[in-house]
Amino acid sequence: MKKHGARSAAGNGDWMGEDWRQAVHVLFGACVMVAFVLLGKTLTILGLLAMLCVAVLFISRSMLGRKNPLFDLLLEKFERRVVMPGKGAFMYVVGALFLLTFSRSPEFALAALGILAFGDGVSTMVGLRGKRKLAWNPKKTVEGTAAFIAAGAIVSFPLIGLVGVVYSVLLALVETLPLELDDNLLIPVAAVLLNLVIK
Amino acid sequence: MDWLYALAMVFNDQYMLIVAIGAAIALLTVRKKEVLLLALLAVYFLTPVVKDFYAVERPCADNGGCPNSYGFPSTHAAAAFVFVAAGIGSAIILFFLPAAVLIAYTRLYLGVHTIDQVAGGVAFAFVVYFLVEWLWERLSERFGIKSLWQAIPRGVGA
Repeated sequence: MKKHGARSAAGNGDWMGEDWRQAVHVLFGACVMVAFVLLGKTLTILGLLAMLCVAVLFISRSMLGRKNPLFDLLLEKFERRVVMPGKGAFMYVVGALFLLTFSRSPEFALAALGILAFGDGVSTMVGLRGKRKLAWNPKKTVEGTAAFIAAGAIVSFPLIGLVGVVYSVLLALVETLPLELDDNLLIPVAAVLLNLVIK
Repeated sequence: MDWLYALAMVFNDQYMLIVAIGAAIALLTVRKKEVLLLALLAVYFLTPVVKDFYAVERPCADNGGCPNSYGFPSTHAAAAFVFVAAGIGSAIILFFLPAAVLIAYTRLYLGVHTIDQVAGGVAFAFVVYFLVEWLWERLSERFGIKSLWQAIPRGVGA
Protein backbone atom coordinates (compact mmCIF):
# COMPACT_ATOMS: atom_id res chain seq x y z
CA MET A 1 0.00 0.00 0.00
CA LYS A 2 1.57 3.29 -1.09
CA LYS A 3 1.78 6.30 1.19
CA HIS A 4 0.42 9.64 -0.02
CA GLY A 5 3.07 11.25 -2.21
CA ALA A 6 4.94 7.98 -2.25
CA ARG A 7 7.22 8.70 -5.19
CA SER A 8 10.72 8.86 -3.80
CA ALA A 9 13.83 10.41 -5.31
CA ALA A 10 14.65 6.94 -6.59
CA GLY A 11 11.39 6.92 -8.54
CA ASN A 12 10.26 3.70 -6.90
CA GLY A 13 6.98 3.89 -5.02
CA ASP A 14 7.21 0.38 -3.61
CA TRP A 15 8.81 1.27 -0.30
CA MET A 16 7.44 -1.67 1.69
CA GLY A 17 8.79 -4.22 -0.82
CA GLU A 18 12.10 -2.42 -0.93
CA ASP A 19 12.29 -2.31 2.89
CA TRP A 20 11.88 -6.08 3.01
CA ARG A 21 14.47 -6.50 0.31
CA GLN A 22 16.99 -4.37 2.18
CA ALA A 23 16.23 -6.10 5.47
CA VAL A 24 17.13 -9.42 3.81
CA HIS A 25 20.22 -7.73 2.36
CA VAL A 26 21.34 -6.63 5.82
CA LEU A 27 20.47 -9.99 7.37
CA PHE A 28 22.41 -11.99 4.77
CA GLY A 29 25.48 -9.82 5.21
CA ALA A 30 25.25 -10.17 8.97
CA CYS A 31 24.99 -13.96 8.63
CA VAL A 32 28.11 -14.08 6.46
CA MET A 33 29.98 -11.98 9.03
CA VAL A 34 28.86 -14.25 11.88
CA ALA A 35 29.79 -17.35 9.86
CA PHE A 36 33.22 -15.86 9.18
CA VAL A 37 33.81 -15.28 12.90
CA LEU A 38 32.40 -18.59 14.14
CA LEU A 39 33.35 -21.00 11.34
CA GLY A 40 36.43 -19.32 9.92
CA LYS A 41 37.32 -18.05 6.47
CA THR A 42 37.62 -21.35 4.60
CA LEU A 43 34.27 -22.81 5.66
CA THR A 44 32.50 -19.52 4.96
CA ILE A 45 34.10 -19.40 1.53
CA LEU A 46 33.01 -22.98 0.82
CA GLY A 47 29.47 -22.05 1.84
CA LEU A 48 29.45 -19.08 -0.52
CA LEU A 49 30.86 -21.20 -3.36
CA ALA A 50 28.11 -23.77 -2.84
CA MET A 51 25.51 -20.99 -2.86
CA LEU A 52 26.89 -19.64 -6.13
CA CYS A 53 26.77 -23.04 -7.82
CA VAL A 54 23.19 -23.66 -6.70
CA ALA A 55 22.16 -20.14 -7.68
CA VAL A 56 23.68 -20.55 -11.16
CA LEU A 57 21.53 -23.64 -11.73
CA PHE A 58 18.30 -22.11 -10.44
CA ILE A 59 18.79 -18.83 -12.27
CA SER A 60 19.52 -20.70 -15.50
CA ARG A 61 16.41 -22.87 -15.05
CA SER A 62 14.34 -19.75 -14.49
CA MET A 63 15.76 -18.03 -17.58
CA LEU A 64 15.03 -21.15 -19.62
CA GLY A 65 11.38 -20.97 -18.55
CA ARG A 66 11.41 -23.80 -16.01
CA LYS A 67 9.52 -23.46 -12.77
CA ASN A 68 11.36 -23.50 -9.43
CA PRO A 69 8.67 -23.20 -6.73
CA LEU A 70 10.67 -21.91 -3.76
CA PHE A 71 13.18 -19.96 -5.84
CA ASP A 72 10.42 -18.27 -7.84
CA LEU A 73 8.60 -17.35 -4.62
CA LEU A 74 11.74 -15.77 -3.16
CA LEU A 75 12.35 -13.84 -6.37
CA GLU A 76 8.76 -12.63 -6.43
CA LYS A 77 9.03 -11.38 -2.86
CA PHE A 78 12.51 -9.96 -2.70
CA GLU A 79 14.03 -9.34 -6.09
CA ARG A 80 13.54 -6.64 -8.66
CA ARG A 81 12.31 -7.72 -12.07
CA VAL A 82 15.35 -7.87 -14.34
CA VAL A 83 16.49 -9.95 -17.32
CA MET A 84 18.56 -12.28 -15.14
CA PRO A 85 16.27 -13.23 -12.23
CA GLY A 86 17.98 -13.08 -8.86
CA LYS A 87 20.87 -11.09 -10.30
CA GLY A 88 21.03 -8.73 -7.33
CA ALA A 89 21.27 -11.56 -4.81
CA PHE A 90 23.75 -13.41 -7.03
CA MET A 91 25.97 -10.33 -7.27
CA TYR A 92 25.78 -9.99 -3.49
CA VAL A 93 27.16 -13.50 -2.97
CA VAL A 94 29.85 -12.83 -5.60
CA GLY A 95 30.71 -9.56 -3.87
CA ALA A 96 30.92 -11.23 -0.47
CA LEU A 97 33.16 -13.98 -1.87
CA PHE A 98 35.34 -11.37 -3.57
CA LEU A 99 35.73 -9.44 -0.31
CA LEU A 100 36.61 -12.52 1.71
CA THR A 101 39.21 -13.74 -0.78
CA PHE A 102 40.79 -10.49 -1.97
CA SER A 103 40.89 -8.52 1.30
CA ARG A 104 44.36 -8.25 2.75
CA SER A 105 43.25 -8.90 6.31
CA PRO A 106 40.29 -10.68 7.95
CA GLU A 107 39.42 -7.51 9.86
CA PHE A 108 39.15 -5.53 6.65
CA ALA A 109 37.09 -8.29 5.01
CA LEU A 110 34.60 -8.17 7.89
CA ALA A 111 34.52 -4.38 7.93
CA ALA A 112 33.93 -4.15 4.19
CA LEU A 113 31.23 -6.83 4.40
CA GLY A 114 29.61 -4.83 7.17
CA ILE A 115 29.70 -1.64 5.10
CA LEU A 116 28.21 -3.51 2.13
CA ALA A 117 25.48 -5.09 4.24
CA PHE A 118 24.54 -2.34 6.67
CA GLY A 119 25.70 0.77 4.83
CA ASP A 120 24.16 -0.12 1.52
CA GLY A 121 21.04 -1.68 3.06
CA VAL A 122 20.22 1.15 5.47
CA SER A 123 21.04 3.83 2.88
CA THR A 124 18.43 2.45 0.49
CA MET A 125 15.73 2.33 3.17
CA VAL A 126 16.47 5.91 4.26
CA GLY A 127 17.23 7.22 0.79
CA LEU A 128 13.87 6.17 -0.65
CA ARG A 129 12.23 8.49 1.84
CA GLY A 130 14.77 11.26 1.31
CA LYS A 131 13.86 14.63 -0.13
CA ARG A 132 17.17 16.24 -1.09
CA LYS A 133 18.54 14.78 -4.29
CA LEU A 134 22.25 14.69 -5.01
CA ALA A 135 23.39 17.15 -7.67
CA TRP A 136 25.39 14.56 -9.58
CA ASN A 137 22.86 11.76 -9.28
CA PRO A 138 19.18 12.61 -8.86
CA LYS A 139 18.41 8.95 -8.13
CA LYS A 140 20.24 9.24 -4.80
CA THR A 141 19.54 11.49 -1.83
CA VAL A 142 21.63 13.30 0.77
CA GLU A 143 19.76 11.47 3.50
CA GLY A 144 20.54 8.09 1.97
CA THR A 145 24.21 8.91 1.58
CA ALA A 146 24.42 10.14 5.17
CA ALA A 147 22.76 6.93 6.33
CA PHE A 148 25.30 4.86 4.38
CA ILE A 149 28.19 6.67 6.05
CA ALA A 150 26.67 6.41 9.53
CA ALA A 151 25.72 2.72 9.31
CA GLY A 152 28.97 1.76 7.62
CA ALA A 153 31.04 3.66 10.18
CA ILE A 154 29.20 2.11 13.14
CA VAL A 155 29.84 -1.40 11.84
CA SER A 156 33.42 -0.92 10.66
CA PHE A 157 34.81 1.22 13.50
CA PRO A 158 35.02 -1.64 16.07
CA LEU A 159 36.85 -3.75 13.48
CA ILE A 160 39.36 -1.39 11.88
CA GLY A 161 39.04 1.82 13.87
CA LEU A 162 38.87 5.33 12.42
CA VAL A 163 39.98 4.18 8.98
CA GLY A 164 36.61 2.41 8.84
CA VAL A 165 34.94 5.81 8.88
CA VAL A 166 37.16 6.86 5.98
CA TYR A 167 36.16 3.76 4.01
CA SER A 168 32.49 4.40 4.79
CA VAL A 169 32.72 7.93 3.44
CA LEU A 170 34.62 6.92 0.31
CA LEU A 171 32.40 3.93 -0.45
CA ALA A 172 29.29 6.06 0.16
CA LEU A 173 30.57 8.49 -2.47
CA VAL A 174 31.36 5.64 -4.85
CA GLU A 175 27.85 4.32 -4.33
CA THR A 176 26.38 7.67 -5.43
CA LEU A 177 28.13 7.62 -8.80
CA PRO A 178 25.66 7.29 -11.71
CA LEU A 179 27.43 4.25 -13.16
CA GLU A 180 24.41 1.92 -13.44
CA LEU A 181 26.53 -0.88 -12.01
CA ASP A 182 25.11 -3.14 -9.32
CA ASP A 183 26.15 -1.85 -5.87
CA ASN A 184 26.74 -5.42 -4.72
CA LEU A 185 29.58 -5.59 -7.22
CA LEU A 186 30.69 -1.96 -7.21
CA ILE A 187 31.17 -1.61 -3.46
CA PRO A 188 33.30 -4.77 -2.95
CA VAL A 189 35.50 -3.98 -5.95
CA ALA A 190 35.92 -0.36 -4.84
CA ALA A 191 36.64 -1.49 -1.28
CA VAL A 192 39.38 -3.89 -2.36
CA LEU A 193 40.95 -1.29 -4.68
CA LEU A 194 40.83 1.36 -1.96
CA ASN A 195 42.39 -1.10 0.47
CA LEU A 196 45.35 -1.47 -1.86
CA VAL A 197 45.93 2.28 -1.58
CA ILE A 198 44.79 3.22 1.92
CA LYS A 199 45.80 0.08 3.90
CA MET B 1 42.10 -42.53 -8.16
CA ASP B 2 44.40 -42.82 -11.20
CA TRP B 3 41.72 -41.51 -13.56
CA LEU B 4 41.36 -38.33 -11.49
CA TYR B 5 45.11 -37.80 -11.48
CA ALA B 6 45.25 -38.34 -15.25
CA LEU B 7 42.38 -35.89 -15.76
CA ALA B 8 44.01 -33.36 -13.45
CA MET B 9 47.24 -33.59 -15.44
CA VAL B 10 45.34 -33.08 -18.71
CA PHE B 11 43.74 -29.91 -17.26
CA ASN B 12 47.15 -28.83 -16.02
CA ASP B 13 49.16 -29.50 -19.18
CA GLN B 14 46.59 -28.72 -21.88
CA TYR B 15 45.02 -25.68 -20.26
CA MET B 16 45.09 -23.41 -23.33
CA LEU B 17 43.71 -26.15 -25.60
CA ILE B 18 40.87 -26.79 -23.17
CA VAL B 19 40.08 -23.06 -23.03
CA ALA B 20 40.06 -22.96 -26.85
CA ILE B 21 37.70 -25.95 -27.07
CA GLY B 22 35.49 -24.43 -24.38
CA ALA B 23 35.41 -21.14 -26.25
CA ALA B 24 34.41 -22.89 -29.47
CA ILE B 25 31.54 -24.64 -27.68
CA ALA B 26 30.54 -21.46 -25.88
CA LEU B 27 30.46 -19.36 -29.05
CA LEU B 28 27.78 -21.69 -30.40
CA THR B 29 25.70 -21.72 -27.25
CA VAL B 30 26.00 -18.69 -24.95
CA ARG B 31 24.00 -15.49 -25.24
CA LYS B 32 26.73 -12.89 -24.89
CA LYS B 33 29.59 -14.12 -27.03
CA GLU B 34 31.52 -10.84 -27.16
CA VAL B 35 31.42 -10.51 -23.39
CA LEU B 36 32.73 -14.07 -22.98
CA LEU B 37 35.68 -13.49 -25.33
CA LEU B 38 36.57 -10.15 -23.78
CA ALA B 39 36.26 -11.56 -20.26
CA LEU B 40 38.53 -14.50 -21.13
CA LEU B 41 41.10 -12.09 -22.51
CA ALA B 42 40.80 -9.90 -19.43
CA VAL B 43 41.31 -12.89 -17.11
CA TYR B 44 44.25 -14.10 -19.21
CA PHE B 45 46.04 -10.76 -18.97
CA LEU B 46 44.99 -9.67 -15.49
CA THR B 47 45.51 -12.88 -13.50
CA PRO B 48 49.34 -12.87 -13.75
CA VAL B 49 49.33 -9.21 -12.67
CA VAL B 50 47.11 -9.93 -9.66
CA LYS B 51 49.18 -13.00 -8.79
CA ASP B 52 52.40 -10.99 -8.72
CA PHE B 53 50.71 -8.25 -6.73
CA TYR B 54 49.35 -10.47 -3.96
CA ALA B 55 52.42 -12.77 -4.13
CA VAL B 56 50.81 -15.68 -2.26
CA GLU B 57 52.86 -18.85 -2.45
CA ARG B 58 51.35 -22.11 -3.64
CA PRO B 59 50.97 -24.91 -1.08
CA CYS B 60 53.52 -26.93 -3.09
CA ALA B 61 56.07 -24.11 -3.24
CA ASP B 62 58.71 -26.11 -1.35
CA ASN B 63 58.22 -29.24 -3.47
CA GLY B 64 59.42 -30.14 -6.90
CA GLY B 65 57.00 -30.07 -9.82
CA CYS B 66 55.18 -26.98 -8.59
CA PRO B 67 54.31 -24.31 -11.18
CA ASN B 68 56.66 -21.40 -10.77
CA SER B 69 53.99 -18.67 -10.62
CA TYR B 70 52.26 -17.47 -7.46
CA GLY B 71 49.06 -19.16 -6.29
CA PHE B 72 46.42 -16.47 -5.84
CA PRO B 73 44.10 -16.37 -7.64
CA SER B 74 43.92 -19.69 -9.51
CA THR B 75 44.06 -19.04 -13.25
CA HIS B 76 42.50 -22.39 -14.10
CA ALA B 77 39.55 -21.75 -11.77
CA ALA B 78 39.17 -18.20 -13.07
CA ALA B 79 39.09 -19.23 -16.73
CA ALA B 80 36.73 -22.14 -16.04
CA PHE B 81 34.26 -19.97 -14.16
CA VAL B 82 34.23 -17.28 -16.84
CA PHE B 83 32.53 -19.97 -18.93
CA VAL B 84 30.07 -20.56 -16.09
CA ALA B 85 29.26 -16.85 -15.89
CA ALA B 86 28.72 -16.73 -19.66
CA GLY B 87 26.63 -19.88 -19.60
CA ILE B 88 24.08 -18.62 -17.09
CA GLY B 89 20.67 -18.84 -18.74
CA SER B 90 21.80 -21.32 -21.42
CA ALA B 91 21.40 -25.10 -21.34
CA ILE B 92 25.18 -25.43 -21.78
CA ILE B 93 25.49 -24.48 -18.11
CA LEU B 94 24.81 -28.15 -17.38
CA PHE B 95 28.19 -28.86 -18.96
CA PHE B 96 30.16 -25.77 -18.00
CA LEU B 97 29.30 -25.78 -14.29
CA PRO B 98 30.31 -29.40 -13.52
CA ALA B 99 33.37 -29.02 -15.75
CA ALA B 100 34.42 -25.87 -13.93
CA VAL B 101 33.89 -27.45 -10.51
CA LEU B 102 35.93 -30.47 -11.65
CA ILE B 103 38.74 -28.27 -12.97
CA ALA B 104 38.77 -26.26 -9.74
CA TYR B 105 38.82 -29.46 -7.67
CA THR B 106 41.73 -30.92 -9.62
CA ARG B 107 43.82 -27.89 -8.68
CA LEU B 108 43.28 -28.80 -5.02
CA TYR B 109 43.78 -32.49 -5.77
CA LEU B 110 47.18 -31.82 -7.35
CA GLY B 111 48.11 -29.67 -4.37
CA VAL B 112 48.99 -26.66 -6.52
CA HIS B 113 46.35 -24.41 -4.93
CA THR B 114 44.57 -23.96 -1.62
CA ILE B 115 40.78 -23.58 -1.28
CA ASP B 116 41.20 -19.83 -0.76
CA GLN B 117 43.22 -19.52 -3.96
CA VAL B 118 40.67 -21.46 -6.00
CA ALA B 119 37.81 -19.46 -4.46
CA GLY B 120 39.68 -16.29 -5.36
CA GLY B 121 39.81 -17.49 -8.95
CA VAL B 122 36.06 -18.11 -8.93
CA ALA B 123 35.30 -14.69 -7.47
CA PHE B 124 37.71 -13.04 -9.90
CA ALA B 125 36.02 -14.74 -12.84
CA PHE B 126 32.55 -13.51 -11.96
CA VAL B 127 33.74 -9.99 -11.09
CA VAL B 128 35.69 -9.67 -14.34
CA TYR B 129 32.82 -11.13 -16.40
CA PHE B 130 30.16 -8.82 -14.97
CA LEU B 131 32.43 -5.77 -15.19
CA VAL B 132 33.20 -6.59 -18.82
CA GLU B 133 29.47 -7.08 -19.45
CA TRP B 134 28.72 -3.70 -17.89
CA LEU B 135 31.48 -2.01 -19.90
CA TRP B 136 30.36 -3.67 -23.15
CA GLU B 137 26.79 -2.56 -22.63
CA ARG B 138 27.86 1.04 -21.94
CA LEU B 139 30.11 1.09 -25.01
CA SER B 140 27.40 -0.47 -27.15
CA GLU B 141 24.93 2.22 -26.07
CA ARG B 142 27.41 5.03 -26.47
CA PHE B 143 28.85 4.04 -29.85
CA GLY B 144 26.05 1.91 -31.25
CA ILE B 145 28.26 -1.18 -31.43
CA LYS B 146 26.33 -4.43 -31.86
CA SER B 147 29.22 -6.88 -32.29
CA LEU B 148 32.97 -7.17 -31.80
CA TRP B 149 33.45 -6.96 -35.58
CA GLN B 150 31.90 -3.49 -35.58
CA ALA B 151 34.18 -2.43 -32.72
CA ILE B 152 37.39 -3.13 -34.67
CA PRO B 153 38.68 0.13 -36.22
CA ARG B 154 38.74 -0.07 -40.02
CA GLY B 155 41.46 1.31 -42.25
CA VAL B 156 41.01 4.24 -44.60
CA GLY B 157 38.69 3.40 -47.47
CA ALA B 158 37.25 0.35 -45.68
